[in-house]
Amino acid sequence: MLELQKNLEKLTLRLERMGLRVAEAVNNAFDAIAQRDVTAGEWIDEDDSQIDQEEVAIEKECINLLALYQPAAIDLRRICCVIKVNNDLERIADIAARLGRRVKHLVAGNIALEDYADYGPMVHATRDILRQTVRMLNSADADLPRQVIEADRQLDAAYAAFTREVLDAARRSTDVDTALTAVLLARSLERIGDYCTNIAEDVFFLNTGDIVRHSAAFKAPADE
Amino acid sequence: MLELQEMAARAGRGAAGGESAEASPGAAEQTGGEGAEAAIIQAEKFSLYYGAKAGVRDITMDVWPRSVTAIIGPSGCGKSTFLRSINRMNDLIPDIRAEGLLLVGGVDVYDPRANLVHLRQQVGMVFQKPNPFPKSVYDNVAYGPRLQGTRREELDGWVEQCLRAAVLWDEVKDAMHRNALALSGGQQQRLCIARALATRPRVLLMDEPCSALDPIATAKIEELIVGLKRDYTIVIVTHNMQQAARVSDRTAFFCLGELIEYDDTKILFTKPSRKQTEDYVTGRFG
Repeated sequence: MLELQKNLEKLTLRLERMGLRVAEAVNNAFDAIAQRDVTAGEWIDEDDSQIDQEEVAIEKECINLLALYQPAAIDLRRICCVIKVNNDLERIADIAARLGRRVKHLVAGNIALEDYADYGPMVHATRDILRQTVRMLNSADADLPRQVIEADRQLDAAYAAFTREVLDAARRSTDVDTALTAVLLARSLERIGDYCTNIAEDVFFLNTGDIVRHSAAFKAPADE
Repeated sequence: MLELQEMAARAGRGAAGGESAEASPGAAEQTGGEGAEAAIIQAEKFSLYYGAKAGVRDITMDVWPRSVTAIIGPSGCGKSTFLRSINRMNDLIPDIRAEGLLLVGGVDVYDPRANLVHLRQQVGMVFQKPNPFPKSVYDNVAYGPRLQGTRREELDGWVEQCLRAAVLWDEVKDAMHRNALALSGGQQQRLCIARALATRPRVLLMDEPCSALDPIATAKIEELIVGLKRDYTIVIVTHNMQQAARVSDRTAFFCLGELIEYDDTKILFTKPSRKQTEDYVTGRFG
């Protein structure tokens, strides 16, 4: 195997590990929120700086490979894909860190998100899309990007239901702080779904060479 | 100036000259891209045999005027054979046989009645190693036009225009009567390009024109190629895939004497449609 291919395999594995780590950070944030564990929330924030360093290291590796090998075709697409996915993963990790920092606020304000019936499904949808996204990073299954797009639709639906529920509850009470906190948190989860969609589009580009961002042609099977 | 007027007329423009006619000698094609005009080189099931062995087989491809077409492929794939077929340089090899059609400007290159002198005037060639004549810089460029009967009073201006077109004028204008072999490798190669332009060709064939040059000289030749395509059709054979990607509009990938894929260069190097092409451009074979 050529040196470039060996390095690309290593790079793909490294990105997959980054994905696992980011998904773990988000899941840990959900657990910290559920258990009202302020310390666990702070750890997620601290771990984020390590993810930031890994993001920079992966990007440097991509630049080195571009400079040293001038790759073409699938190899070039892989490096472009890694650069973009790496960036989106780091942003998801930033959201996990933000969720971790928010635990302190939830505990101090005695805000129980679990009281909203639609909170659980939204968290479940977020965990699900992250799991699928990480699986997609090192899989030859060409259908996975579309599955991730579909998972984002489900997350969007869960987000909409949760937001409606929070706003309905807010109308009945004077607890603006709880409603605002809940909506901001939900918005963060919805952003995670958007980043996962970006990643799915990048993996689709890797597989096909077609840029489907902003394109109506790239639809989930359910919409076709 | 006479030449410029003549060129402008040949190129279908006014005598005042468009930007292309002013910039470089020998402009011969109508402006326009693929689809706007006929292909200048057309191969239709073209094969060339060395004895019983096929150098290239069943090549069907069109080359469009005022474009750079790169031919890439592993050693022995037939890319130089095809290139040299276009102006019948392979005729020097005994026992060759051509089949199918190969047209330049609509004229069958392998028609027994074909005028080889006219063909090679229309289709110039630049080789791997610079090969200036052991004469002065001036005489190298003036050699072809003199044979073509260009008048002495027109010659100085024409030589200057050709050297300018080859982006060499500023470096040699004060040493026109210096021996060309005293120039650097990169300068010698640009002189050979100027010499090829001097006979007013429509097509320039380049067979690995930078393989003997250093990176700076290579960059100059590449820049020159991109500039020349405003007026000429260029077909270049190169082993350097990055060079093909940088300078060409379309790229043909040859393997074992066959044309495997021919597409826009950007597509061929980012998402080729054939697995064989992908394996080659990513270095997995070849």
